[in-house]
Amino acid sequence: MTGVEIGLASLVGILVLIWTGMHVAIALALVSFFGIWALRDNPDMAARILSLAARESISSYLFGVVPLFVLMGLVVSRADIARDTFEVANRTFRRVLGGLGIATVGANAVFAAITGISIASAAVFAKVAVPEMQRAGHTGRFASGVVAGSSVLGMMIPPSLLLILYGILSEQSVGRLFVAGIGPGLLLAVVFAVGIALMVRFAPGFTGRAAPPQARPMSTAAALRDTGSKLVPVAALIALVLGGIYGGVFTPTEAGAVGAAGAILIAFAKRRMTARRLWDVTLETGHITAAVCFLIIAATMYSRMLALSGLPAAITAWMIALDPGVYGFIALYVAILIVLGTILDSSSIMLITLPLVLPIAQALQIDLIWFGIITVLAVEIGLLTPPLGLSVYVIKGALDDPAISLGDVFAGAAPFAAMMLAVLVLIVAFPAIATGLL
Amino acid sequence: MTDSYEDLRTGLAPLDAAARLLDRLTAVVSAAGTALILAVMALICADVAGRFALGRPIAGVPEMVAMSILAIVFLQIANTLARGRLTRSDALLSALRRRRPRLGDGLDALLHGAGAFLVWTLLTAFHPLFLRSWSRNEMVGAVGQFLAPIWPVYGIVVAGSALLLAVFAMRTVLLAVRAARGAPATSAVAR
Repeated sequence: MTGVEIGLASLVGILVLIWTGMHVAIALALVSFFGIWALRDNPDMAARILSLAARESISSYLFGVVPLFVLMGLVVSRADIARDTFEVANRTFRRVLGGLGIATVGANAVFAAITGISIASAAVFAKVAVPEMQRAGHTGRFASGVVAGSSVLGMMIPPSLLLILYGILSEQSVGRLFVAGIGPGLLLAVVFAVGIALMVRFAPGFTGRAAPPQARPMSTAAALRDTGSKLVPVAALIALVLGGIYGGVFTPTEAGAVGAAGAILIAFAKRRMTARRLWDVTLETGHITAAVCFLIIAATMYSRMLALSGLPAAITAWMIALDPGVYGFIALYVAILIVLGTILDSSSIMLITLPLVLPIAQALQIDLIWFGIITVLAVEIGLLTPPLGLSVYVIKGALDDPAISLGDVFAGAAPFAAMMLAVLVLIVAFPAIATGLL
Repeated sequence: MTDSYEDLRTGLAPLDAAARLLDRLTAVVSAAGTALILAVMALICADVAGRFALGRPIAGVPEMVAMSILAIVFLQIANTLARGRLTRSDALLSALRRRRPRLGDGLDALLHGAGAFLVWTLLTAFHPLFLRSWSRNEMVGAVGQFLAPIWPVYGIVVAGSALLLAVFAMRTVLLAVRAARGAPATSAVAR
């Protein structure tokens, strides 16, 4: 077998093993081991190359961002900050058509600016916003779809675990990626809000007819004070983290540490955190960190095996000869990501595809920051599509309501997946949406 | 699916006791990793505060953070697997378990066996790196600024990998026993 054939065979092998249920990191590393063995005809050398990858891949200052931003995100999701934000957004959008849905999107957008995991947003808002929307008269299908769709904002609006992962894999600045995520994230939120208003207006059979909620008696001063007490801590955290990175005061790692410490202080000040809960949250952070970093180690092994096989160079040469142009290549890439998104989780897709496509993107002189935003958005569409839409499963699990079936959540999320695709096309057509702030 | 050792009971008392003991051990080790995360956060905050308030940052913070991350990952990794939190896509496996539980356990035993084989391979290859860093007392950092030996971190990588290997092997055995004998009746009630 030639090197390129071994590379292709390993790609098929990895996909089959992951689909069978093997731990993703083990599948990547195991296939890499046998791949290098086949390429170099030497198992000891294969093991040595892999162990060097383990040592070098994650022992770097930048990786500090992973546990720190995960910790910050988990603390704010445990501290009921999502509920606070939702209440304030609710008051703001009460008189608007589809106001509850728009409030969910708005609260999610704000919450996304202090957390980096879509799954955390999905679980929290499934419990907070879905029952409220159903009480008002929306269908369970629409209510859960709104939460599924808007949870995607968590990965787009910085800080974002997927953008961190992309930055590590492509050796791009995480800080610049964060800044580039702001525009697309806000655009996505606006498109969702407009889409919700249009759906409520023109497809009431799908959304259900919501009765205008009763205004709770509250004086203007009390409302202002309540809004302030609920929004000021969140605004302070956002200013600290994003402002710190954007202003060049903090490295992303420092912003993560300061943000996590700030979130912990706020949670204690609001009396929603105890030492015991902080320990549990940190332990969960450790589990997520270990899983993510183990994936990165395995991905490093896999990309070294690929480099030895010559497959990325062959695919790049083939793609250049095909001459699809930048837009043709991106269209093909996005289609592949969305198809993979139906069977694999977001991080695995990026780990498997990026070593193959980054050389092509570089050869075509594509801006890798812009490319990263496209990648994350396309991968996130997969979170909403069957059969393996991870966000949808999380929402179904968090709801614990047999009246809303898995199919209902998928159906409710479908319009949002379509809107994401539209935003993706916009970002491809107008790169300034992402790169304008840089 | 969060399948801890409790979901993998075999009904063989000594084996289940050994599995419980191993689970406790990984929990103790991961507690050290948890504490280290909080320590890293505090260290960076102190560095930032020192830079702004006193104009004097702490020496060697980037090196300490880089080394801590490697340590955190390998202190947590065994417990992450033991608590079923290591990333995998289990749609096919859960469907199989629902219809043919013993076949599902058998397949899962194979998958964990593959994990044990891989970790063992990596461990044997990484072990010499640890020994060399120990005997030569290899340092990280820059002379005159900050210097620290790297072997304690490599030691944690070796120990953490060994623990991960033990968890993979234990789960392979538990799942294989369940595939051969069927799951004990009590575990169906416990789910």
